[in-house]
Amino acid sequence: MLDLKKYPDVAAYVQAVAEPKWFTEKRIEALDELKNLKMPSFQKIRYRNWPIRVKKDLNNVKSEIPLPEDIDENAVTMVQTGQQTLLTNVSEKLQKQGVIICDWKTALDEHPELVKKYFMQKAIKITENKLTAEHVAKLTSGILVYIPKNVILKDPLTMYFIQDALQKIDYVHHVLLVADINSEVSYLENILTVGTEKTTANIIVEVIALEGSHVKFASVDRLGKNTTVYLNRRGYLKRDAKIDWSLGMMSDGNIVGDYDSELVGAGSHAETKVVAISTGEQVQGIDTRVTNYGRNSIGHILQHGVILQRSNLVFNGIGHVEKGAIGADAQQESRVLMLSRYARGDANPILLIDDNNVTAGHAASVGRVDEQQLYYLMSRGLPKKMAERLVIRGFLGPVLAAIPSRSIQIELENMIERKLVDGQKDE
Amino acid sequence: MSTLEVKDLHVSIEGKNILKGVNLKLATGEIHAIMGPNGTGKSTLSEAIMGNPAYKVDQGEILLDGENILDLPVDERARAGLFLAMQYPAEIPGVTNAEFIRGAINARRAEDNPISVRNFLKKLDKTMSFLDMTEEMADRYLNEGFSGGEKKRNEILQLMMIEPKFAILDEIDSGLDIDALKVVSKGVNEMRGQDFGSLIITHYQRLLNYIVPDVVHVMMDGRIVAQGGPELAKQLEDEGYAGLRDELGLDIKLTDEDA
Amino acid sequence: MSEQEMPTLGGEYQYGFKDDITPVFTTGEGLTEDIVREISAAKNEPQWMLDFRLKAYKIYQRLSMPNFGPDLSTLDFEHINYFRRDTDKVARNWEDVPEDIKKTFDRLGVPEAERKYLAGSSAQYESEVVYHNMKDDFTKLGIVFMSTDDAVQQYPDLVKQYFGKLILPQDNKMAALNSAVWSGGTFIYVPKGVKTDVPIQSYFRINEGNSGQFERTLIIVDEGASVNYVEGCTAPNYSQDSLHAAVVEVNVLKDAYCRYTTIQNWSDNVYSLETKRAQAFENATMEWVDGNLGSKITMKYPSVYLNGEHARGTMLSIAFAGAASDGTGIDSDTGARMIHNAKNTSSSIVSKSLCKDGGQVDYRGQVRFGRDSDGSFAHVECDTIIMDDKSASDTIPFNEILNGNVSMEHEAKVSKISEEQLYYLMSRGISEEKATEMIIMGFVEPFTKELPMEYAVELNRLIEYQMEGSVG
Repeated sequence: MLDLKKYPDVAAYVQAVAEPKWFTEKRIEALDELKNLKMPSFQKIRYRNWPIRVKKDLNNVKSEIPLPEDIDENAVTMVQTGQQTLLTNVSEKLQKQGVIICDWKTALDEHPELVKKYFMQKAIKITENKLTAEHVAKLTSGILVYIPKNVILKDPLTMYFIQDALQKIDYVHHVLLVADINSEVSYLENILTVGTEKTTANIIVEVIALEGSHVKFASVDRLGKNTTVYLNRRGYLKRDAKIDWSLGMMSDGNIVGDYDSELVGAGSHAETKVVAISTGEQVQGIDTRVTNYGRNSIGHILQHGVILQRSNLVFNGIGHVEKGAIGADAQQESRVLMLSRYARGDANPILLIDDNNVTAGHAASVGRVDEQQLYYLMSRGLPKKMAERLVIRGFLGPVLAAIPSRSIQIELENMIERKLVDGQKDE
Repeated sequence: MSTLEVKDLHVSIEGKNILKGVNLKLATGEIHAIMGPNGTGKSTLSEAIMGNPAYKVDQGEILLDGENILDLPVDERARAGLFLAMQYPAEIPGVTNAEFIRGAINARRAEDNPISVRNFLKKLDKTMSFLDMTEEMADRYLNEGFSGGEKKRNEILQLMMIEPKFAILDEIDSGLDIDALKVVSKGVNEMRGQDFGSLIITHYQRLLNYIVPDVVHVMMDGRIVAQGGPELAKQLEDEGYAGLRDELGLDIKLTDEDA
Repeated sequence: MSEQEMPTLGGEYQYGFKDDITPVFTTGEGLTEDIVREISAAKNEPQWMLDFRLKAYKIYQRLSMPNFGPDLSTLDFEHINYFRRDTDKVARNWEDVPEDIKKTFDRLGVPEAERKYLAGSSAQYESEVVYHNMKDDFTKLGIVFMSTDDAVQQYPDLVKQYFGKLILPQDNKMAALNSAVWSGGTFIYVPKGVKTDVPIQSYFRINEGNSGQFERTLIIVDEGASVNYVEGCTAPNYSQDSLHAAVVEVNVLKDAYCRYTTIQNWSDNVYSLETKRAQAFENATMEWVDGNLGSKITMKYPSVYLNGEHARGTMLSIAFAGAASDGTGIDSDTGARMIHNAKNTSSSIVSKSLCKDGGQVDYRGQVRFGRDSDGSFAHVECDTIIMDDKSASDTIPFNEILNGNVSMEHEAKVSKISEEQLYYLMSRGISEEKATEMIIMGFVEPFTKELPMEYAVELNRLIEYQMEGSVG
């Protein structure tokens, strides 16, 4: 029998949503362990005094946000606002192939075997730190995506997750994507905020790439200025699996981005590309790690950041080769453009190498916009600031090009343009 | 007289069979050429003879003066008298060309009898000027930042300094302009004599105008498919590899042939 | 690379011999406030220095050990002998050095080196300098070269102005400890405009087990002057560990130049936990050349504070970590810090590391561009070769940028010995062992070519010795 007396908010919530008992048990496990756990620690990212803990009670809240007008209902796979799911578009063809795309509530009710097997079991442990435990304890929205064996999806799956900051509620959201053996999928998520209330978001994305599968994962994060975010995306790769991460960090508030790929299987391969723009007074701390366990595994990291106004951007890139990862390759590159004299940027490329039969390297650079490129564009008559923005767009290209939807690419370009124009005003 | 003999050699790289039974015999005093289209295993043969650990010998023998050398590591094969002028020589920063060559010469001599600095420098200066190499090449780091032509010249410099019994020249002509080709050929012809044999691997006949071989072997798909005198090279020049293949009635796809 | 240049060595740490010396004075094991007072009294110090020591001792008690890097829990502070005086006076010629101690330095080749190619030389044995001398030509130029103890007595104004200003006792626990119990070390003052290329050398020797050596070096290169300073260190092998916790402060004034070369070759029972810092003023150049070959654990991150416009700072280092004689691996945690505080400053860090037989070599560094560092530039290059599967390496650089008008390039590589290079050399008949050695020598060549010739030969010998038996 579950003892929920200690946690009356949990008791009320699970009754209201009729949550399966086995999942409530995970919440209790997380809550009981919480006091014994530490906050996650990242080099040079100081976030301890941020309101990053999810303090509010677990609560079943309705959201009043309508479907945003610019979303094409036919082109998206799922739209969630706050804890609700507004729209789900899973074609008959996908259903026939056995593809599962459903919200978290449905996942718990209808696909418990998948959730039990993979949710916070392989990539991340519930008790890894205070924030992961808090995530499980306070989880109120999310999705499950499952691609069966040998199924190859050509069209990208496009998700919109809209944080409701019209209300003072925390946003705790989970994505569980399982790509079964030899499957292929392209997945795009848009995470954005509506509203300006001071809130906390705790988002965990788990990508489980089983043997021989290939996941193209793209994201565009546009969380609001008053949202403090812990965003943990982690891949778990079995033999010969591949994940291509393309992460566009365009949020306006303080954020800790904790990105990790666990190269467990031999021949597994993770390519992580991150671009970030920091503006205003925000602090973005981005800790991207690849851990090679498997033989001949490949982990590459590329991070490009632009820093404007009084903001602060920290790029940690960590290549960790464990003992026994013979033939592993760990490479990374972090490049930062500083466009303001009041900003601060940190680029910390770290290599932790415990085997000798490896190739590992990193490069980092910090500088201004390339003068040669600028000169070339200006010699064609472009005004300096416009030329500068074009050069920067090229600099952010690696992730822009990987976004699988042209309309979202354009949206992102416009957003970058706006941020740069605003930033240049302060120069 | 020394002999180098390859018998029924089968070699694979990363599980892929490249050589499928090569037979070849060469003695000092002779120069042989191996010609063949791209991707037929010419470089594999040279690396296998030298003992590159990346190449796996599955079957056959390589005999130097009748002794099988397959169990010898590369350095011992070199000291036994083999030399390979490589297509892509490695760059080694921090080690000067001169100290490297002296090290290679001394590796062949008794530890208490190294070549004297004076004799070494005399020979080095003479050989470098013979090959039209500038003096500073001796003090530059081994192959680091060398142009393609400089690297090839440097391989020949080493050949002339080390004076092996048998030299294999792996596409020594690739990427060379006519002047450099002449210099390289001059070096090899200088070595020509009763105590020296050479196996020249090339795709083109051009080099063989400068170094005239005693025997020409044609290799296709991992085997030697034809043998003859210098006239065979001329015939190839005129008819191309596809022509020879068709004449021999071989069912082989050439990689540089249009699909 | 002839046989003459690269003799083969036996398989032992060749400086591991020890002497039997009875100290003239020692404070015994352990540390208390009274011992701090005793040390000061033994040196007949002015009140201000005693006050400095006592304040530092309080800070030392308060601070904790570093929370990063190698495990220091095996270091037993209780049983260290913090002060040991082996002779009553500092000799000016080797004849006056007590016979046993002189023998030690003879075996280390110190007097011979001095005769041949040094402008001045000093030798520290345990806690104090037992010998220092400078050739007349250089004395005439007004260069001051003496033990820091003597400088406190003879140049109190200069010492007061600079001592403990770059490295405050509260900087870290080992700096605090040094500030409380420091003894010996080198004081150099080069007057305005005086330039000398000929190196001045100090040699540091720990002889007893359980010893603490806390030398304190202070260098002031006045405007437009230049100096080239070299230090070497060795110690015997003991089962009990010794601690070497030096503090080095270097001030390079406007238009001045300083090169500071260290060949650290402590035996593998010595913990070498050093704090080294320099500041470079307008258009000044500070160069660290740092070779770390010995010690059980090394923690050392020399820094340059680029405090004047157009100041330059460089670090060129090699580290080699192999097996320790107790069966564990040597842990070398070293790096550099370049702090750009003024316009148009530049810095360069080149770090070459090697490990084998269970050794761990870590690079830990920091490049910081402050708010006022417009137009500054930094270049960092870290290369590591891990020679076998028992050894490991971490590269942990931090780059902090608070100015938009700067540029920084950072590159690092970790690999094993290149098989392609090995094959190429061996295909010319060179044995695997010799070929490996050639590649390693080439790898560290950017470092060795910066050393005075005699040191380069010595270093090659040391590396060759370290490399022995590394193949097969």
